[in-house]
Amino acid sequence: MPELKLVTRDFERAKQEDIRTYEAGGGYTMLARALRDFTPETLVAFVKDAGLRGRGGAGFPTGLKWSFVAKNTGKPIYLLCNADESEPGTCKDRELIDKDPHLVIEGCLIAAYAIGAATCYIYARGEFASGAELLETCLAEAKQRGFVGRGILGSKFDCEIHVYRGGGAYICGEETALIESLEGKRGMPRVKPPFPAVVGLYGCPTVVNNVETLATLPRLLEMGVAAFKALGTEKSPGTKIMSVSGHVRRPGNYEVRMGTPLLELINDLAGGVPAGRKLKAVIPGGSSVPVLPADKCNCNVDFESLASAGSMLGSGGCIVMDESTDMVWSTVRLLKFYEHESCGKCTPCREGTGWLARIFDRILEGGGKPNDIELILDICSNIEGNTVCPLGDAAVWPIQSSIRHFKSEWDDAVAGRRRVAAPPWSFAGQEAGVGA
Amino acid sequence: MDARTATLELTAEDTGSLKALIGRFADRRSAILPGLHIAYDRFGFVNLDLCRQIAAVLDVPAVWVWEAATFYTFFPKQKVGRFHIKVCNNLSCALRGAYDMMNYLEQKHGIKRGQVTPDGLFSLVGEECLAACAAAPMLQLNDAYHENLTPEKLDRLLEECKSKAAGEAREARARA
Repeated sequence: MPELKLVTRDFERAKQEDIRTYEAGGGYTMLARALRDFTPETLVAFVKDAGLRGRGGAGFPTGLKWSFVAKNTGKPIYLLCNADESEPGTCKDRELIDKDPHLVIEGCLIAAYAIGAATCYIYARGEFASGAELLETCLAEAKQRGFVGRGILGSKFDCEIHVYRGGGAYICGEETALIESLEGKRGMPRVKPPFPAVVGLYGCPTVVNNVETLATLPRLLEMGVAAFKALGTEKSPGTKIMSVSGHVRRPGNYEVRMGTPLLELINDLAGGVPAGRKLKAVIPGGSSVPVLPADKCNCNVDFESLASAGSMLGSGGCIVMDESTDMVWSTVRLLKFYEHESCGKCTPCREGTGWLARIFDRILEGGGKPNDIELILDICSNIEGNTVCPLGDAAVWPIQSSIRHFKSEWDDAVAGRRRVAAPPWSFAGQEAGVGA
Repeated sequence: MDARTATLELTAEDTGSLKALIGRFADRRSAILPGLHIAYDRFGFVNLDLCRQIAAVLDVPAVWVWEAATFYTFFPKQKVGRFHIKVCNNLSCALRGAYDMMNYLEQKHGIKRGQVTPDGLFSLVGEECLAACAAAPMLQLNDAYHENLTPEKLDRLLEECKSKAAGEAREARARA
């Protein structure tokens, strides 16, 4: 199955970031359609009908999330575009902003109209300096053309959009941490409920949507519910941008219909693992989801199929590992990430990830002890489900799945029978020009 | 004078642009991160002194600014090199040799992790995922992303930095 370029359709158009190019390609006409043909209520119902699910990781139905927004509270309603993309293996939102910034803005405006938000903040991770600058330029153009600001396109809909740059904290991709961060505080998640739709930014009703989710909205309006649902599967309609990285010959972002076989994505689109090597494992949805061994990769790119295979679609960050990969090393590498990014609020995550890191270091140094694996799994089960946000779960799922599927490698590492090492740079050299 | 060696004081332009941002938010505390970005853009790092100045502009307690500064790793808390290099060493980049690339920077170019080179030109840190996974290995040099790196590309990049710095030094002498 080839790529199906819906959201990424105009990535190759020259000067797509120029509002004239964007408008010439039909840009901002879906905003106009939303304002003309829909009330906020019918627009929410339309997106609910379409079954669009959030593309940031959790896959929560977007229309349903919108419908939870508390109405008539007398408080302003906020829309936050989550562009804090930091899930290891995921690099689609950055490309969306770089290649089609007005599509993201149009998506924000459509969502803001649906939920009744007069203010939207695009929360971009601190490192996206050029993307943030590009968005600022595009917003100024859009404002000049009457798409942003007061009385948009002659309607009664007002919406200001501002770009807000974070500070390089993974946790701020979690929606309540993002809200805390936008309030100028340390990005520590809040206890839910209350959910942001009721008590969010500055205590006001707030919706947080991912960049890709918002960028899908103009396309959804263009094609209608039936055509959108015809793409993809019953419970996962539409397309998904999959970031394929690691040991493949053509790493990149590929947009596919939901339901596309995972191995077609990896082999046909991304070129498969290098010649002479065998596929060993795949992390299909960003580093937080359980790893799948090669023999469990006979599943499809959609929420249900990956769940029944024992993993998750997550953010679509598909990390491919060939037989040269040391699964203990790769798992430890990820745990160190979660240790670094733990915000410190919940004891199980803060202390547990550090404890695991110390055990892993000892094992890698050849000091493994006979009951280490039991101890590791015990710590994992004491973190899982015991934290305010999903970072704790995300830290342990890769470990639990790695031990489950690659037990003999763990036994060898604990027994000091193998030297684990970081993969060599020669990979990129051998495949010179790939992905350039 | 190079802004990075000047007295650590936000300029009138800096404080002016920060003040102008306050109105974007229902609560002025939200302007703390933009304030830290302004200080970072000026000096390449933030310290307690700069945090106090941001707090004064925003009329918020200094501790609010400092507690944010110390949470967000994007803002170095001490002076970095003229060219600050962040090598992504998360899994996607590691699978394609990010660790070797770090070693190469240390061994061939003498740029050590966590340090600034004696000439003040380069500093190096390992960084978590920078959302460029399909272009690994990669690094961020100041604000710019450099992707699909090979030893040759990396050598060339560092040479460009050195000639840029030499040009800046010549200009500075000419002005003096």
